[in-house]
Parts: sequence; structure tokens; C-alpha cells
Amino acid sequence: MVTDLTGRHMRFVVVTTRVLVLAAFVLLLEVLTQSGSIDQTIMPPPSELPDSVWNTIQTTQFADDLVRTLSEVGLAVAIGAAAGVVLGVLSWRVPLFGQAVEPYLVTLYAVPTLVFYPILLAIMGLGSGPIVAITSVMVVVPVALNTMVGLRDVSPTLVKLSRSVSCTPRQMYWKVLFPAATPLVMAGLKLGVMYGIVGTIAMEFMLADRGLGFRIGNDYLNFAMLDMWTNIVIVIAFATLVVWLLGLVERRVRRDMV
Amino acid sequence: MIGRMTPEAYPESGRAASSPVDQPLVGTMDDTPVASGGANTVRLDGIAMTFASRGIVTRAIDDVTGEIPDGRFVSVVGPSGCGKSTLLDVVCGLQRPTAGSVSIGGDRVEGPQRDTAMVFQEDSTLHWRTVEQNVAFGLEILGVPRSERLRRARQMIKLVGLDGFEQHRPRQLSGGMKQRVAIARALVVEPRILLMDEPFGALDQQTRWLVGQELTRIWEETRNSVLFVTHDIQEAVLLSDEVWMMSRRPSHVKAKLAIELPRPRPAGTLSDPIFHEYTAKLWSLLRDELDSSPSGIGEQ
Repeated sequence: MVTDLTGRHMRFVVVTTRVLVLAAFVLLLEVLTQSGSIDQTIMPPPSELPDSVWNTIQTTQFADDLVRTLSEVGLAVAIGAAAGVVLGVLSWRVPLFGQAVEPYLVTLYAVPTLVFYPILLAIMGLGSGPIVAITSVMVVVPVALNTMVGLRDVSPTLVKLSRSVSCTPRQMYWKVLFPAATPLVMAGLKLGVMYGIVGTIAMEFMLADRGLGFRIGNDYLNFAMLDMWTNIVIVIAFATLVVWLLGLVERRVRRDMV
Repeated sequence: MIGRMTPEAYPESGRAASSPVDQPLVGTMDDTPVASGGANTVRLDGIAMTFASRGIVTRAIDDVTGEIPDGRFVSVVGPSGCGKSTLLDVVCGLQRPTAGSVSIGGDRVEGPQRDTAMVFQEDSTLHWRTVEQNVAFGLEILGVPRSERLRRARQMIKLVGLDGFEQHRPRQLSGGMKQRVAIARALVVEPRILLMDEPFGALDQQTRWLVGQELTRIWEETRNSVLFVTHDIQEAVLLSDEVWMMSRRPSHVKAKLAIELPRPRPAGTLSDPIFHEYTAKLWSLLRDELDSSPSGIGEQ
């Protein structure tokens, strides 16, 4: 940071400002909806949402949606991360392969993979299959690229050191290369999980019969605006929680690894 | 180390022939001043190293022959790019020489050895490990049981003067302390030879001097054979029993100079006239090399 915001006092100011910005935004929406500047059939006043959220999260339907979305995100992240690490290691180990594959990976960053859903829908049918497939691809990209860069950036001195102490290839990977690359792989994984959430929920809009994303789209089609906004708030809260948890893990890793 | 001094500042001081510097050690290849054949004696036999890249053949090392007797501290100095580090890699078994061979105590070096250890110029600490785990790294790779390797690591940490820092991580240490970790990591495996590739090259002068003093103190306790590469002539004289001056590329050992300064060598050694005679001698040898025209590039 440019200015010193590490002091306890500054930290307090930062957090307070953050909360105030959010509060001001919510207040603005409340005023706009109550005054009728925004039609209440499009958006209910925010003050109605806490009750609605509280009621919704107690229903079994919500539990079903949450389980579905969580398992899709979890599966996609697991597949994407595993494939990403393998692809990253391979791209690093076989430079020719890496150079051949890197442009595709970088391009995939920009390609909205979601556009492939009609094909996958035809192949795999309605359900979790195409969602997990497309989301996995979105997770692979940052994990693979960061793994490759992380390994590439390992200091040659450390490689030489491990050779000089007669490391076996396996020891070199597990005791030197992977630990040294972990902070960057972690950053890729964090990005991957975020993409995983965005991808899954967006896909559920189109391709699901259950899940948090499906619920939002379904509410919209049924003109159930309060329910829709309720689910939007829930999704935002869910994403915030995941990002916060990832931040904790990442900080922990950085503390030990850097 | 301390500021560079030009040889001119210390003209031949008119010493009698009794000065050890005047003894005829210079310029011959095979006269090793100490009896050879110890269990850990390192022999370099006609080492040559040629690199080929894009059709250009570079002869880096031409013919290096020499012996590092058991328990002796030998430094290699020479013009930049003369293949000093490559020579170290060859002794370590990291690179195979194009010709010639290395043997340690009669065992021919064919690849990385379990009983040689290397200290690098760059930071080689594993930043995710504590000091203790860093020092124990080599032992861990060798499969030494945990309690045993931690015991030996702690002992070595004490020897290099880092006790109290066992649980610290490298980022909490200064550059000099990191190099001490590296030295401890190398010594803890009780290597037959310790290879040091400009280990203090990245340190500032004061730290360099201090860590150099530390190294001398540690070495006087462990008495490992050491092959020490440096570009700092004063450092070489101060630390070594013997200094090898390499020629320009393609390099060979141009001269070997036994340093017969008494040990221990405290700070006062730096003002010892004999010390200056050694450095002056090496400087003049180095200057001859630098003045001669470059060669060894693009030769077939």
C-alpha cells in the first residue's frame, strides 16, 4: 500500500468507510423504491429483503438449490484445478508443448465458454453435466497458466541446489518445485474458484432445473420480483463468503510460503 | 571485504628471500605443497569443457589439473567469465567435463555426489521452510531420520552463530544470515568437499567481511576440504591455504600460490605486509591476464 494503512486506527477508518458506502447504496435504493422512482414491481424496497431472505433460507427448496450449486461448483473446481495443475506442469516440463498451448489458454480467458452450452446441452442433456463441463474449462485456465508461470519462476539456484544434494525427480517436485510455486498456484486457484461460481450460476440460468442461478431465472420468469431479489442477495452473500474464505486460506499460505 | 587496493600501493617491500611469497610456487602445475592421497583429497585431472551453441564452439576450460588435499582451503580466482563456476559445477558432478576427470579420495565423480555440498552466490534458502528445516534439507534428502537430522541441524545452526533463529523463516533474515543458513545446510551433511561459488558476492562489503570471518572460524573447527570461487583477491588470500589463478578463456590454472599466513587470521592480518605481498602478486598475475587479448571464442 502507498500510505500506511496498517495501523489499527487506519484499519478502523477503512472498514467504516467500506460499511458506509454499502449503507449509503442500500439507503439510496430504499428511497428510490419507496418514492416510486423505481417501480416496486421491478424492485422491492431493500427493507423487505432481510425477512424474505430469512424465510427463504429455511425452506427445503433453498437447501436443494444450495446443495446443487455447491456440488456443481465443487466438482468443477476439483476437475478444473486437477486438470489445470497437470496442464501447467506439462507446459513447463515440455516447453514445446507449453509454447504450443499457451496462446489457447490465454484466448480461453477471453472466450465466453458459456456459448458452447447448446452443443453440450444436446450431448449431455439438461442437468449438472454441461454446467460442470463448461465451468471446469473456466477453472482450468487460470490454474494452468499460474502453475506454469509459478514453476517457470522458480529460481534456477533452487533447482541447482536440489540437484547438488542428489534429489530424486520426485523429491525435487514435492520438496522444492511445488512449494516454491505454491503462492502463484494458489492465486490461480482463487481466481478459478471465482470463475467457477460465476460460471455455474450463469449456466444454471439456462441449463438447470435446480440451483441458485436457476432459482433467480425462474423467479424472474414468474414475475416473483421479491423472490428474485431475495435470491440475488443470497448469491451475493454466498460469493462474498467464498471470496473471504479464499482470502483467509491464501493469506495463510502466503504467510508460510513466502 | 575491505576496499580494493592496487598493487602499486604496495611495491615489493624489499623483503629477504625468506618471504614465503618468493618461494617458487608460481607457474607450475603439479607441485602441490602438501602431501597428497588423503581420504578426501580431490583430484582434478585435465578438465576441459567445451560448449557448442548455434554452431559456435566455445572452449571454456582448456586443461585444469590440480589437487585439493584433505582439509585444505583452496580458492580459485581469475578474470570474469573464465569458467570458475563451471569448474565448480564439474567438481560437484552437475556438469560432465568434455575431457578429463574429477575424483574424490580416489572415487571418480560421475554425477551429483551425496558427499559434496555447494553454497551459491544467490539466495538458496527455501523460503517456505524454517531455518532449522532449511539446514536439515540435505539430511532429509539423504533419508536421515527426523530427530537425528534436527539434532544435527541445531548443532550446526549453533556453529554458524544463528542459535535463537531456528524457527525463523528466511524472509526474516538478512542477506548475511541467509548465507550462514546456506553454509550450515552444506556443512551439516559432513561433505568430503565444500564447494563455494562466490558465496559472499551478493553481500555488501561489511557483511562480506563479517561472514568471511565467520567462515574462517567455522572452517577452523570443521576442517573440511574447500574449493572456493571468488573474484575478490583479498578475500581469497585471507581465507585460503592456497590460491589458484586461472587464465582467460580457454582457461587453465596459470599459477598456484600457497598462502602461508598463520592461522587464525584476525582482522590484523589485513595490515600484515606479507598479506599485501600475496595480494600484490596475485593482482599482477591477474593484470597480465586481463592485458592479454581475449581468446577461446569461436574456435573449432
